[in-house]
Amino acid sequence: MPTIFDLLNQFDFLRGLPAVYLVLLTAVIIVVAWDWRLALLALLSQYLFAGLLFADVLDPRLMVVKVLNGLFICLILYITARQINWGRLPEDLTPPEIARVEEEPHVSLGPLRVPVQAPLRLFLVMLLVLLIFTVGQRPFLQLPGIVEAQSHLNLAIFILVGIGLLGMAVTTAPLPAGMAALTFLTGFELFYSLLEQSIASLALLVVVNLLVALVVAYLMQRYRAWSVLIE
Amino acid sequence: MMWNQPAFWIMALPLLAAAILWPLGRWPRAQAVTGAALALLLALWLRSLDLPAEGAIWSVVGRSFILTPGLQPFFVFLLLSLGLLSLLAWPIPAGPRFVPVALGLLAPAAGMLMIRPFIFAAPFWFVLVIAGLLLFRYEDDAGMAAVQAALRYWLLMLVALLLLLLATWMLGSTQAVLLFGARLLLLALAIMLAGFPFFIWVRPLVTAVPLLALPVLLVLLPLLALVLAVQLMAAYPLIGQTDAFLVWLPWSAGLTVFLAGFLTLSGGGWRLLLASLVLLDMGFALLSLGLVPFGGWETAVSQHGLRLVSLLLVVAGLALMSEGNRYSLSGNRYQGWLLLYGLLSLLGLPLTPGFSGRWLLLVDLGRSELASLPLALLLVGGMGLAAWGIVRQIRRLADGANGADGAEETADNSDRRQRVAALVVLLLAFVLATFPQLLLTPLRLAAPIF
Repeated sequence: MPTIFDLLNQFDFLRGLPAVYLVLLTAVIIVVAWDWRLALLALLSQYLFAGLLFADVLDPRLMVVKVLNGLFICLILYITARQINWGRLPEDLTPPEIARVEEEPHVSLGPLRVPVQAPLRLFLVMLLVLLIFTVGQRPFLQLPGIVEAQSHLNLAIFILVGIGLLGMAVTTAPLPAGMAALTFLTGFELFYSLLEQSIASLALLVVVNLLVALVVAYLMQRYRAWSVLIE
Repeated sequence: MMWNQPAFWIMALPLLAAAILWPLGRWPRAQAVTGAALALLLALWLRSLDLPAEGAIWSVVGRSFILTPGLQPFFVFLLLSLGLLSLLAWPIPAGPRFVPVALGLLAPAAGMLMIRPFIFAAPFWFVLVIAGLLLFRYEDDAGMAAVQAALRYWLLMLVALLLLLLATWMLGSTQAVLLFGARLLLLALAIMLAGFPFFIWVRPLVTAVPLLALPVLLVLLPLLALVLAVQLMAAYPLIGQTDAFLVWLPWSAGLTVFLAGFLTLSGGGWRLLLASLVLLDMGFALLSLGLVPFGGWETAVSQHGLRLVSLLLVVAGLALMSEGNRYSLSGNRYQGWLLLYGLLSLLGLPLTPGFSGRWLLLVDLGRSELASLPLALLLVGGMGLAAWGIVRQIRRLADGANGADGAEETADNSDRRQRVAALVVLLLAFVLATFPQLLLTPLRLAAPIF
């Protein structure tokens, strides 16, 4: 059975900037994707790729705790999303009923029903990414605790925190907003791990992450319960 | 041993009380009375403790919870406030979760203010916020709006938590990063205390929680954040002298007051007007935080206590005139006066209980370096706009227009008991306004000393 160190060696080609680009891709999907299954899969992948970034900062044995924590969070969100049928409306609703309970209007693009705000979200995310790549690596925006060899972490932190904040701002449903919050939290943890690497702070952030997942699950249940009742 | 540690029991007993009260949710009156009795018993026990000058220290896995003699009266004040709110849950329905959650809040609140190092205070704050989420009206007509309000509140508090974590780490490390730490701390406080530009959680929250939860979420939780800030400023006196606290904070507070005044003009029902006025008062409280280095933190605690009184007047007025979620002025003359008096008290006009808070702030401001003409213009402008907003709301109701929460002009739904109750509360409030020392003296005693 391969050890953590063997696994890290196997995925060595993904470490550094490739991991940053993969994390960027997953963060964009989380904010833009209107299908929660895709967004949750992106969140799961994000925890795995972020693990490679954490390996640059933490002892690999501690990094595994972060990854496992992420997997537990995805499990909590998966169970919640299944319970509320992935946020889908019941199929027997009439158009006026759909208009009443739908969070945002949709347009049909062939077989797809796309929220009208999705292109706007994509545009905002692209704008933000452009901004981060343009100014995020300037010397005055270098975060404390990052040495030159770890400059990719600076970029990763800005990407996760920035896109996470944007995701929290552009949605009103608890699950997408919660996944954006978890993205933001991952970026914060990456930064915080550079400053403080004690077991106590690691445990503290694990607890905060789990609490976030539980609150998202609680609010999502409440949210969908009301959609059904309004129906 | 933790069994003989007051710091342990002050966190364990409220949780135990909450566990006792939770199953009583089916019998709201019994729950309310039991909750008030338990809060009173806890307050008496806490008051009877004879603490050493350095405080009672309980060490857990290398961290310490320190119950100091300075915090003791503050916790008693919290317990008495929560006891009063529990008792009010008898005449004013607040849902089966309100009393246990309100009392249980004391556990994380105590943990947050007692734990050292400060970095571990932030998660306790987060637990407080999560407990606060249980108070929202998810089961009501506006359930989806309540979820959205709760989500907005919680997301902002999550950001505040992370900023607080970073700030406390930076304050506790080296002097070199203290300036940046102070700025992050101010950002976190601006979110927790609804300062500009992070005040967006207040208005949705006011419309999404039961009336009795308003004092918990808009007075007690911000007060806890403020006391934590004062503790940090006492431990690291330099942060009170940074540009964050001497320049940014007064502007944030001034803009909050001005925008709150502006928002009172936006119409809507009583709840939205109330939200704007609470925001205005929170702006003033934020300003008092900037006065901490000049000895103004007693004023800050007093302002929160007075906000509690003003909010209780409004809550009593609204509760006595409400029919479900509909509020009617016609036929509810005394209740209407009570409501109006509470709103004016939040505004801080003379001859209301809220005025003494404004007066104390004015005195402190005069002694400090924060006072400036633009700031004064913002504060006066905000108050003027808010006064005009109240007048407009009354005129709108007098013209027979309905507010967003369904104010109606027709039904005479006021019975004799409600009128008498409103009149008694009104007279009591007037006595408190005439003799402000009745309130200010205990509030000064409650202000923790560090």
